[in-house]
Amino acid sequence: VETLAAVLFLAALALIALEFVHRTKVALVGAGLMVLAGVLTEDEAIEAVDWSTLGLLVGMMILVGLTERTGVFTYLALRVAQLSNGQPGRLVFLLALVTGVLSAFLDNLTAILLVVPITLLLADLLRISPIPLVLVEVLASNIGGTATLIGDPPNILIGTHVEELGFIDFIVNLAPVSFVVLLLASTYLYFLFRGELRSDPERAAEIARLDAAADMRGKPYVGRSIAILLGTIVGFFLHGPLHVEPAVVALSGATLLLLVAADDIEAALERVEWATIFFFVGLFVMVGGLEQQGLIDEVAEFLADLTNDSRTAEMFVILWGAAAGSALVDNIPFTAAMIPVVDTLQGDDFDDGRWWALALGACYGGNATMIAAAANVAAAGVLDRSGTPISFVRFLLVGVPVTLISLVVASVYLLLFQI
Amino acid sequence: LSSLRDTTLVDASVPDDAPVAEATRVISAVEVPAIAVVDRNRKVVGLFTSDSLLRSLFPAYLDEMEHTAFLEGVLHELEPNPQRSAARPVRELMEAPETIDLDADLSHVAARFLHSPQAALAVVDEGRFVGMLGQVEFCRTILRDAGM
Repeated sequence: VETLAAVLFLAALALIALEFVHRTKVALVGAGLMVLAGVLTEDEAIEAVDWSTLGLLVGMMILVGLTERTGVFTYLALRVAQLSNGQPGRLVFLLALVTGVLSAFLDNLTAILLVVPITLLLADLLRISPIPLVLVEVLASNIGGTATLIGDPPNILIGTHVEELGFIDFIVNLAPVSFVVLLLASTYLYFLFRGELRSDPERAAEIARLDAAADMRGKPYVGRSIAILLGTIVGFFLHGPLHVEPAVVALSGATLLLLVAADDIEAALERVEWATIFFFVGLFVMVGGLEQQGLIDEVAEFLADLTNDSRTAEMFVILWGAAAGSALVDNIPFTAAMIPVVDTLQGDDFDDGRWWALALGACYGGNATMIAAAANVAAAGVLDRSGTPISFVRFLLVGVPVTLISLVVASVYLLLFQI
Repeated sequence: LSSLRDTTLVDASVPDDAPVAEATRVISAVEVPAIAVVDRNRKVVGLFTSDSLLRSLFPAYLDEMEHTAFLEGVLHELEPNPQRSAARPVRELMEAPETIDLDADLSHVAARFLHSPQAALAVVDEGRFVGMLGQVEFCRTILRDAGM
């Protein structure tokens, strides 16, 4: 049964990476097979599901989805783009900044689905290729999402699992390093693409003609939606002192928004991405199966032997290993499997350093390949449908150097501040 | 009127490798809002509609945007691209196939129209395309049959 559990999990990872079948179907079939084969019992499967993670995801999907209807995020993205005065070089840095910030406080997939179509328009107006700008945004979304507990799925998994780590801990420990990485990555990308980013000054004036606020005028519930979203973000900052879980904060904000700013509850709940929720459910059950069979302990023991029980070496193996694993598979299942491993490695003494190593590795590893993070896949899909497809190799040639830059910065950060 | 065999179907289809230019000629010449895209065996693989035509002419990212009011000032800059559009194969732009069997009863046809995003269905007999049925024409035939 132990071997079967390992084979099922590895087969699921391979199928998710190859994208032959939708990842949610893979996770649910894998979870079902584990229960049917007796890898874990039905009760153990239900216990394995982390309801806090699901609550946080559902709450944020409702909050962000309903606020997006008001046009406020489009306004924000356009206003920032207009600050560039249509200069493509400046646009690189500003788009990286706005995508990074939106990713940190909404989530990186929403940020990408919002800014990429706008970027295609901006590139069209400037008569330049959209691919460099979209690549900058994808990489910035994964870097920006690293900065907070709610920004990137690996952080949501870690933040809801580790009680000792709150929203402010993530900001204090991950936001400064992510800001440095974002700055360095944007500068690298600017020099890499500057040849492709020349535009006619006359075209630049077109950007200024965009009426950024047009979509907000006449929309109902704009003020309420923005106020509740901001209030929820403040709630995240206060969840530690108030002894309330992030999931409760997100679901409270979502409930309030549904009460005061949603006329049609059915339409409002359509904003929940059920495929993602069920993907997480299947994944939790599969990882629970690995735990029940003692495979997680074996991996943890192997890592401890490999690093000779050195905390510093363990942190570097987690950082670089998580990045490699996330790049090859998908950072969500990889992080879900690594969380119990890190739990075992730290033993009874809480150690936040190992968790930051996992968060940094999994989130930054999401930049290496086109399949490594959901935001990358989504951006590639939009580019493809818009007739400007990007190849796997072209993404790799840009993503790998940025990932290496990020990991070197993260390594220096861990050495200086976490050891 | 008891089945679609008694209605007038419009023979409007293009092969799946036909260019948009050919599909545009066909859809412009008939009174149905969609034409069938068929394979070598006359099996319906998709529908070419006025939406498909619009999407082929204008930037595809417009379809990806949730908000578009901000475009007002620059719409003149987003020029349609008829040359590029005309040469694209219809299979790149077609919608999902919406079909109904030639022997389906009328209430079934009505239900298909109500649940379909298109206002025209491709009618098939033993899996092969026989003609397009527009929603308006379907209703008009029933009313005419009742002497109205």
